[in-house]
Amino acid sequence: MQDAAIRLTGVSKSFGATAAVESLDLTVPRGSIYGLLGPNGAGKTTTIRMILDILGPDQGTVEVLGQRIDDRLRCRIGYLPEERGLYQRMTIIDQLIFLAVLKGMPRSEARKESMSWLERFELGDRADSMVEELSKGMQQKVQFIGTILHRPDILILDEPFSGLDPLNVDLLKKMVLERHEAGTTILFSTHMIEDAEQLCGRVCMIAGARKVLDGSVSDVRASAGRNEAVLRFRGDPSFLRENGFRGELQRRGESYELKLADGTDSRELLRRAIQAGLEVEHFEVRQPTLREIFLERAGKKGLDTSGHGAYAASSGGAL
Amino acid sequence: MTNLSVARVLAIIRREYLFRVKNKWFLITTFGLPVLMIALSTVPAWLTSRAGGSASPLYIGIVATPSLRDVDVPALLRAEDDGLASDMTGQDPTESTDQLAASLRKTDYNAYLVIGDTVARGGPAILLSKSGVSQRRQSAIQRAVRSTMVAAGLQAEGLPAARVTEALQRPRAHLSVERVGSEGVAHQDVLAVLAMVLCFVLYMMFIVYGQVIVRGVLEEKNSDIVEVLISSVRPTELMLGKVLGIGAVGLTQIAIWAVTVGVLALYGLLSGAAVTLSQAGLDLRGLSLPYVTIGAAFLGFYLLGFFLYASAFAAVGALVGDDQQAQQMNFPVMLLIIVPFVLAFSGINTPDAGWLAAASLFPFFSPILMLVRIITGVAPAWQVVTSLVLLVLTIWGVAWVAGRLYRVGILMKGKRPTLPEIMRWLRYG
Repeated sequence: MQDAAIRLTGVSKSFGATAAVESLDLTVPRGSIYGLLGPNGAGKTTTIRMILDILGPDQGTVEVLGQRIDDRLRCRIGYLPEERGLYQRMTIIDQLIFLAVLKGMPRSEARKESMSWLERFELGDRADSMVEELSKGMQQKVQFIGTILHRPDILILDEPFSGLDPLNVDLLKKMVLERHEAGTTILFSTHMIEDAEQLCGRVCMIAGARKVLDGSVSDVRASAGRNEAVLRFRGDPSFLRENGFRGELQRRGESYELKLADGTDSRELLRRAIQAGLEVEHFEVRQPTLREIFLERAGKKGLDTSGHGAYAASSGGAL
Repeated sequence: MTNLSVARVLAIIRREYLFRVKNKWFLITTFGLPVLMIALSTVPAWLTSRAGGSASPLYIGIVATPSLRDVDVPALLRAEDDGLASDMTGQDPTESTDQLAASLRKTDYNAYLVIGDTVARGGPAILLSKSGVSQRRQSAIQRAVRSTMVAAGLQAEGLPAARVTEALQRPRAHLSVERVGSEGVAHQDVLAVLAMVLCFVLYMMFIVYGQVIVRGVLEEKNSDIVEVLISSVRPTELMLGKVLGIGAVGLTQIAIWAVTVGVLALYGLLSGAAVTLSQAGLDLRGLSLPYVTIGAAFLGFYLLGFFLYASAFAAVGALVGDDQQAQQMNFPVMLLIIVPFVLAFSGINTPDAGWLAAASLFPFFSPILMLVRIITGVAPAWQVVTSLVLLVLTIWGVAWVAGRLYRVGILMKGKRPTLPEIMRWLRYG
């Protein structure tokens, strides 16, 4: 299908006896911001390395822009690895040109593009500085420029926000959204589910080498099917029992707060509460967060337990 | 694995090359070393020429047994070395060394040459000297003593002493060994020295640039730049570009040295060095050497040897996690360069020895040893061809193994892999 930027079909990869990824199906639509979620060691980096053809899958196929990944297609991907690095004793401009030329960009064009990006990031006057003379934050910017310089159709960002200060996190998020608006497909992996919830249109959650769920963020949250209603009020809570509402009731100072169990009509609850003459302070129908859904679905393979196990296995085994 | 991109390999070669050639240490070693070498070879000759003549004169008192009184020993000494002035003294050679030394201290002589009657029966002549005597002058004196004994012997046979002495002063014979090779005739000692110099340059290049490669790979690993690179280039391209780029840096350095030496020789600025060499018994004047053969052999073995050792060093760099581990893992590869160099030194005077021929066919030794044997003109064509074939096959094998280890190793973090792990990478890598 033409609308898939990246498609993995039945992909498995193991290192020795350790399975890093097991029969993974994954489709990243063109132009989407796609989140690959999971705890450390769940198989995110291995998945990304297979998309980039750094590793070959044991089973299954990896397609990029509708074709088996090859050298030409690799040039249309920009990759920001989790472990970031630059040549310390090289000037910024030389470094950027080098990275872009490796992606097939002509040298003169690479120079022009580098300069205009450096201007945008307010590093124009540092083009001839050695990388080692820059602050950590500036190096992060240079690294990001190196990722997008060759105008990739697909951006793959592995844990892009880890280790960044809040200012740079905001800058990077802004740049990601800007690339998104320019039509670039963006795949990013993170163990910070909240980041994904904020940015992504679609997500795929993996834990312990297996996919737990995937789909658009709104579908995932809606399909969780257990919207929670929260009602805070002053007055006599006895109307609840009279109308057969069952939930978790807590005293909050002068007020009561009710978290309503699943399967109840929340609008009915609000109507009855007003009818009973209660003073309603707060009412909210809340979809579960991705984190809650993930914890629920992943079960024992969830964030903490399986995350730890998988991490130990992947760091112990050979890559 | 296949489909290497030439453009990408060139980009990597370019980066490695420019990065290192622009480095100030490259400039210092490249231009500093020839200056240092020329200074070392020129200054002694210059100093002696400034001191007037070849060296300061030595004033010798001759203490000879009475049977030698008709031989003109001072003339024989002067015939060997202009700087040797001498008189016959009336001292008795049978006196003890202590007595002679005490008497020497009271005179203006720099030394006593004691020729007792035991010398005729194979005993030593003795030079008692207040100052140091150079090796070259010792030989001159030794030759003069020998002439003295010959003169005395002939005189005893009835020939007039004056005529014999005069005859012995005339020939100043030197032996020049000319090596008959396929391309002509060349001076053996000059060839030996040239072989050692070039083989030292090879040795140095392999060791120094091998370390540059190990450190380069390690830096890419530890700074995590490799994570970025690997999404654009194949590990094989990265390794190839690195080896070729750094090899080109070494080649540039050699070319600069060769041109420097050539230009200096052209303008006669190396005459000082030539004087030093000729004092050591090497006459460079009127020399015809098989330059083409030597140049081709040097270049060929530099390129092949560099590729061989550099691939191995690249694998070492990929396998280790830090400098300390690199030191340990380096050693086996270094040994493959050090051993042939040591063998070359011990075999240089007998380059046609069978053990040297055998060792020069061993692929890891052949870049250095076969070069020595080719320059000294003792390697038959079939041996050269055999060594080249074996070397190329070995390079292919080493590059294959190194490529696999490199591919897996550069993405490895932390501890050094165990041997079973390395074996597994080789099978599945």
